[in-house]
Amino acid sequence: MKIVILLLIAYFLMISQANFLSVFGISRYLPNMTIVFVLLVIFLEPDQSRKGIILAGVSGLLFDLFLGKPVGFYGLIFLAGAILIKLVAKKHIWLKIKEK
Amino acid sequence: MTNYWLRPRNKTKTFALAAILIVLFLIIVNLRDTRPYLQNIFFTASTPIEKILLKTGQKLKSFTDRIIEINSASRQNKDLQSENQILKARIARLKSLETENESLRMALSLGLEKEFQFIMAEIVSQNPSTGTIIINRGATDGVTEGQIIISPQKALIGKIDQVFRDFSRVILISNKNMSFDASVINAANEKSVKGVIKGQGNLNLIIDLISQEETIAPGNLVTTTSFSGQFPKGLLIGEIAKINFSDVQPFQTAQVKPLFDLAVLGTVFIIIGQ
Repeated sequence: MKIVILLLIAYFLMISQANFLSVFGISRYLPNMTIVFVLLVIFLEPDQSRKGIILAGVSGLLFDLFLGKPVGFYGLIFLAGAILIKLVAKKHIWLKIKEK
Repeated sequence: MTNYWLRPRNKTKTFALAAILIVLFLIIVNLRDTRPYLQNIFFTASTPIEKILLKTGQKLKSFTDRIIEINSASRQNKDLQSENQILKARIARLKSLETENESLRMALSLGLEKEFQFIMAEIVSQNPSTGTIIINRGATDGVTEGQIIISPQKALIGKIDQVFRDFSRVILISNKNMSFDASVINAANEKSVKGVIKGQGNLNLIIDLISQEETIAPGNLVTTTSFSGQFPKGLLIGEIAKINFSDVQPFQTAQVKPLFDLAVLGTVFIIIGQ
């Protein structure tokens, strides 16, 4: 259930950045909100949790569909990025805000 | 036989299997031209939300734009008002210069510059009831007490009573304390009749001490004489308005209408030398 909510948030951030924030002309000055959200989830979740990786992969796929890229282009990049961050963070970064 | 899915597996193998499956899935999706189909589903699902977001964004943008426009219009309005004030001030200045120019032209046409040395001044305040006016020339301009003030038409207005640094108070010839020699020029026989001008206040003058034997008529011009030494000879004072003749009086008097009109007079000349 939690992963569904996280995916909905990521999806909402993606379309709102494109449709809502772009109207105000501030979209170009903002970082990609979905990526920021995915990174936050990856960094803040417990080490054992794989939600961040799933979220990154599915968000990537949504990006592919939304931007008209070949399916899997962003999906694989996000997935690989998320796994890499997880591995590096697990070994070298001590940032545990929430511990289960 | 043990079920494949229930057998304990190596983590790496599972990961490799998952990766292979994902890659295969992606290759099939991209090769089989299912991408447009998937995108269509995605957009069908997204469009209502996107529309709502877009409309909300546009409305909010329109609202904020209007507020910004109001602020901008308000600022623009202030700027225009300020510019308008500056232009009004310039127009007023130009009008003032125009009046000055006219006065100078009139003075030059009368040849005032040949008879007198003068400086020009503007009336900044007037009080006909007390018979005084204030002009915008003072000690810094070389004005001294007793100097004579005339109009551009060479009509006598008064003399400097008190000098300040940048301003001077002029006592009008209609002031009750004013009394000086004058002569009435009879237009019929061009004979001049001597008399004494006395101020009556409120821009009223009379000429007194005119001998009963002399003949004067309304409309005769009254000019200054140099007997008392107060004013130079030949300055216009006014014209006879009404004669008060009485057999029982030793002298005849007449009301004199001054030739200057404070209501329209803006520029005057101070005679600083001859």
